[in-house]
Amino acid sequence: MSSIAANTWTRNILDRLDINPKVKCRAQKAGYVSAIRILGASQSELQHKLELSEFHIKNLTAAVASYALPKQETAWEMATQIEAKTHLTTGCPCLDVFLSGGVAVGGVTEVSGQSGSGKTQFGLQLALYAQLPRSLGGIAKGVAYICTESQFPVVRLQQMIGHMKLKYPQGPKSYTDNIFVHHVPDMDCLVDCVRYQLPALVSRHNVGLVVVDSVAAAFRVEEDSGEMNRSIPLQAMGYRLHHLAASYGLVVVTLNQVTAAMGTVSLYGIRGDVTPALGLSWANLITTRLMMTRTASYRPAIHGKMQLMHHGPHSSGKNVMEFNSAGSSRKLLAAEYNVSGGVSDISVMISDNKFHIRDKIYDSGAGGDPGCILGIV
Amino acid sequence: MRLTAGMCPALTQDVIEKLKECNIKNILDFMKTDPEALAMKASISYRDLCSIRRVIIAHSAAFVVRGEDLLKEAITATKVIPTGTAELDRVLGGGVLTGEVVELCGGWGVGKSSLCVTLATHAALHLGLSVLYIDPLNSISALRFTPVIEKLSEDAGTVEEALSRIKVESPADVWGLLKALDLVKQPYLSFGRFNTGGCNRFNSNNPSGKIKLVILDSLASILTPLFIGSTKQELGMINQLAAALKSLACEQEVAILVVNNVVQADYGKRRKRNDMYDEWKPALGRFWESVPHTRLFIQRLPNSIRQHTKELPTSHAQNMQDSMTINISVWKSTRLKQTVSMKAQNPEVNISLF
Amino acid sequence: MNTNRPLDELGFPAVVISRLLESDFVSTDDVQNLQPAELGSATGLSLKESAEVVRLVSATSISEPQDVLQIIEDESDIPHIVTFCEAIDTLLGGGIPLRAITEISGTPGIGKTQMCLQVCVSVQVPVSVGGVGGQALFIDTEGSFTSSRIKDMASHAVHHVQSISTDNPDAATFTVESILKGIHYFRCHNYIEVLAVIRHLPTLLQSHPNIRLVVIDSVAFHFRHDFSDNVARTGLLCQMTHSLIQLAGSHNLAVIVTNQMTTKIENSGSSQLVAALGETWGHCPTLRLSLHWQHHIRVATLIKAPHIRTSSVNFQVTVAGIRDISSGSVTQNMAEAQNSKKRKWTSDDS
Repeated sequence: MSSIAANTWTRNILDRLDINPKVKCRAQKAGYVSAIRILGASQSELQHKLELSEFHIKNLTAAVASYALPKQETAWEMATQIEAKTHLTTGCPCLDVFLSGGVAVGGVTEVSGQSGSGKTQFGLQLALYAQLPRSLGGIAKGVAYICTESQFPVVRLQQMIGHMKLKYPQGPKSYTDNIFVHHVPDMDCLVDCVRYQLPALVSRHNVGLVVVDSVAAAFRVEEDSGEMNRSIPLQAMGYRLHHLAASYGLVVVTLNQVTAAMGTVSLYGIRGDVTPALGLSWANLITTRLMMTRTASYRPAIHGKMQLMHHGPHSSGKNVMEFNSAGSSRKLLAAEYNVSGGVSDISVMISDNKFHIRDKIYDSGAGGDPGCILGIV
Repeated sequence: MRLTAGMCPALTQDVIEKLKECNIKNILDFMKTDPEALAMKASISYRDLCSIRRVIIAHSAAFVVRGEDLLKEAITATKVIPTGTAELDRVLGGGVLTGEVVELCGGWGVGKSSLCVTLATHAALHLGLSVLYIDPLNSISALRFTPVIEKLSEDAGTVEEALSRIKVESPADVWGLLKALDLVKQPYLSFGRFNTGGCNRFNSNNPSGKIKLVILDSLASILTPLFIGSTKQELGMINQLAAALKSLACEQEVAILVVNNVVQADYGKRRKRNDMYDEWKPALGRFWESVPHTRLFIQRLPNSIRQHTKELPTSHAQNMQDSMTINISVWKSTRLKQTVSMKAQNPEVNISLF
Repeated sequence: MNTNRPLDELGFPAVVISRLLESDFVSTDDVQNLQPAELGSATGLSLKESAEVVRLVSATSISEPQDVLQIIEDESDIPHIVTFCEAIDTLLGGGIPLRAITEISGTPGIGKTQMCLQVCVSVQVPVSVGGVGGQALFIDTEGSFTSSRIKDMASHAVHHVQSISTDNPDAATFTVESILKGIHYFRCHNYIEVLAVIRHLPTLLQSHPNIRLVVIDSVAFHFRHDFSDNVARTGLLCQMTHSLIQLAGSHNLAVIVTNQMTTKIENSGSSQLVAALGETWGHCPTLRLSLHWQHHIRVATLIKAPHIRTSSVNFQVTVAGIRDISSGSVTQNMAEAQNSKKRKWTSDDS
C-alpha cells in the first residue's frame, strides 16, 4: 500500500482506540498496530496471534473499523450540497452542458483522438480556464502540465492568453506564472514524476489541474518490450493519478492517442476504425473518456481553411464509452436521449484563435452554417 | 492418556501420587521409564509396576488384523450410494462408497453445486438417506433447489419429506465446520414435522435417520481466507481437517463429497502431465491433493455454453437452453480399475443436469 | 445432544491448546465437569483462560440443523429486485435476488455503474407495486457515483410507479427525496476503507434495518492495483465475500459487486476477455452477469447462476436508467415478475 495518506493506515493507531488496555497490549506485542494489519487479518489469525478470545478480537476489529470508516452520507445530502465545486468549465458552454458542467473534479478524464484533432488545444484551454476565479467557472488554482510528446506549445499558449485577457479582464494578471511545465522523456521518468514530484508540487503550489500530454507517447515508445511489461507501471501510474485526484480534489486530464481497431471494436462500443491506445488495463483506470475525431467533410465548409471540426460522437449506443463515469455521463445521457433515437453529437470547431462549439444533429447532415458559435478563447 | 486410579488393580491412588512425585504423569512417561529404576526411585514394588505395565500394553496395543477379515468387513459394511445417473455410476463403479472421500473440482460456474444438489436430492428422495449439506457460502437457497424439484415427478408429500431429510449447516469458519461434521456422529436426527409420521418405507429402511452422505460445498471457500496468515497454520488446518474427514468417513460409514476449486497449473509443470491435467489442478496445494480417495474433474462442454445469436435486436431471451451438459472425468482414484489400465486417458462421462 | 469432541477442534489459541494437551486434557469430556479454578490449577492456565475454555466446552452441544424444506419455505416469498429492464429481469429469473451476491462485470463504459444506480433506485419501489421497499448502501471505490444521475433515474421511477398505481398510499411516499435519502453512500479511497465499511456493516444494518441492497462499485479497483501479493489478495477477497454472504443471508440483503475485465492469454496465444480478480474469485459470487458490446448494442450475458439457464439479452442505458431495447415502455413487468415467482411456489406446494 503506497498512497499519499499511506501513513494513516500504517501508523500505530492503538492509542486512538477505545478498547480494553489488555487487548491493546497484546496487539502491540504481536505487532498488530496499524489499521492495515488488523483489518487485513482474519478473525482466526488475530485470535491465534494475539491469544485472545473471539469476543475481544471482535471488539478490536470493530474499533479499528470505525476508526478507518469513511464518511457516510446519503445521496440526498450529496445532492443538496451546493458549495462544493465539482466541475471545471471547458470554456465552452455547450460542451459544459454536454459534460454536465465541465471536467469533473476528483476524477481522471481522458481525451483521446488522432493527431491534429485538438487534444493539446483542449489541454491548453483547460490550463487557462483553471486559473479563472470560481465565479467564472474556474477553480482559481495552478496547473501542472506534463509534456511527453513534444515541446510545450508556448507560442500557441501566448495567442490564447491574449484572447483570454480580452474576454475575461477580471482573470489573473499573469497566466503563465501558474502553469508548471515539466518535460519527461520516457516511461520511467513519467512514473517517477507522478509518484514523487507531482504530490510535492500539488501540495506546495496550490495546483488544481494536472494535464498529462500525452500518456500514450511515453508508454507506446516502449512497445517492443511487450504488453505485459508496460502494463504494470501504467496501471501503477493510473492508480496513483486517480488517488491524487481523489485525495487532493484535482482535475486530472490525460491525453491519449488512438490506435487502429483490430477486432476489438466491440470492446468499448466505438463506431469507427480507431480505438484509444493503451488497452483495457488503462481504460479501467479512467473515470471519463472523451473521444475527439476530426471530420474531414467539414473542413471545406464555409469557415475556411483555418477551421477544423471536431466532434465526439455520442450516440445512445455508446455514450458511456465516451463518458466512463456516471458523473459525466449523466448530463451526456440527458443531452442524448432527448434526441429520440437519433445520433446526437457535439461539434467543436477550432480556429487559430477561436474555439467554437455548436450543437448539431449528426445525421441531419448539417453541412451548412454551423448554428451557434458559443465559445471563444 | 493420564494415569488414573482403577485402570488396573495395582494402580491405586497412592501409587499415582508416588509416580507423580517422580514426575510421571501419563502413560507415555510411565512406559518410557525403566521399571527397575522407577521401583527404586518411587518406592513401589517392582511386581506392581510390571503388572501395571502389562495391563497398559494390553490396553493400548493395536491388534493384528488379517487382510481377509478386513475385506469381509468392508464388503458387509460398505454401502454403495448410486448417484442417480447411470453414466456417472458406471464411471464410479456403481456410485459413491461409504467410507470414501470424493472430491469434485472444477472452475466457477461449471455446475459443481448443481451436481451436488442433484445428488443430495436423489439420495434423499430415491434412496431414503439422510444427507448433511455443509454450505459455508450460503449457496443453498430456494433458487438453487427450485429447478431440481420442478423436474421431479413424485408427489409433493414425498418430495417435502425427502427435502426435510437434507440437513443444511452453514459454518462460518473451520471450527464451525468441524462442529458441523460432528452431526454425523449423532445416532438420531429429527425430521421436522415428519417426526411423528410413524414408520413409512424410508424410515424402516434407515430407521435412525443417521446421516449417510455428507456434502461439503465448498471446502476452498472456507480455507482460502486462512491463506492470508501464516502458511504453517494453513497446512496444519488442512492436515487436521483431512484427518477428521477421513476418520469420519471410515468410523461412521458415510460417504463424503467435497467440492474444491481449481487453480491454474504452473506453466512448467503442464508439459509433464497428460492432456486432462493440462491447464488446471485442484486448489489447496500439494498436501490436500493426496487426501481424497477419488477426484472428479468437472468441465462444462463447450457446446453447452450459450452463444448469443447474431440476430439482434429482436427478442431478449435468445437461445435459452433446456439443460446443460457437463463432462466429468476421473483424475484420481484408489479403487477404480480404469484409472490404472488406461493411464493415458482418464475415464470420463458427459451428463446433463436439470 | 451432546458429544465428546477433541479439544483441538474448538479453536482455542495455540498456547491454550498446547497447555491443555500437555496436561492430558484431550476431549471435551475431560473438561466437562470441571470448575475453571480446578482446570486452572491442573493446567497452569490463568483463571480467565480456563473460564473461557470451560465456557466454550459447555457450549459445544449441537443444535438442530436446518433442513432444505425449511429453507425453501422460508425463502419462497422473498422478492427479487426488478431492474426496470424486463429482459434482464427475465434473464435473472425475476430480478436481482436477495440473499445472494451478484457480480456485474464489463468493459469500461458499458454501464456497470448505471446498472448499480438503477438497482439502488428500484430496490426502493414500494411493496404494493411489487417492489422490495428497502434502502440501499453504495460503496464507491472509483468515485463514479453522482447524485444528479440518481435524481434523473429516481424521477423516472417515481413517475412510472405513480402511473401504474394512483391510489396506493405508499406510492405517494415514494418520491425523489425519499429515494435519495434511502441511498447511503461511502466513498472508499483504498481497500482498507472498503474492509472497514464491511466490518462496520453489522452495526450499520442495526441502525438502518431497512437496507436491502449493498453495492460495491467496483470491487476490483483497489484490490487489483493495491496488491503485490495475489495470494493475500484472494484470501482477503474470500474473507470479505464470506462476511458479505453471511450478512446477506441473515439480513435479507442483495449484494451487487462490479468487476473489471482483463485480457487473458490462452495457451495457444489467442486472447480472451475475462472478468478480473482471478479464478478463485469466480467462485465467490452466486450470480455472474457479464456486460459487453455487440454491434453497438449492449448485451448482458448471465455466465453463472444457480437456478436458471445461462443466456444473453440486449439492453440499453437511457436517461431514465436501464431499459429494454425493443420498446420504451416497461410497464407492469415488475408486478408480473413477482407474481410468476410466487405462482411457481404455490403450484409446487399444492
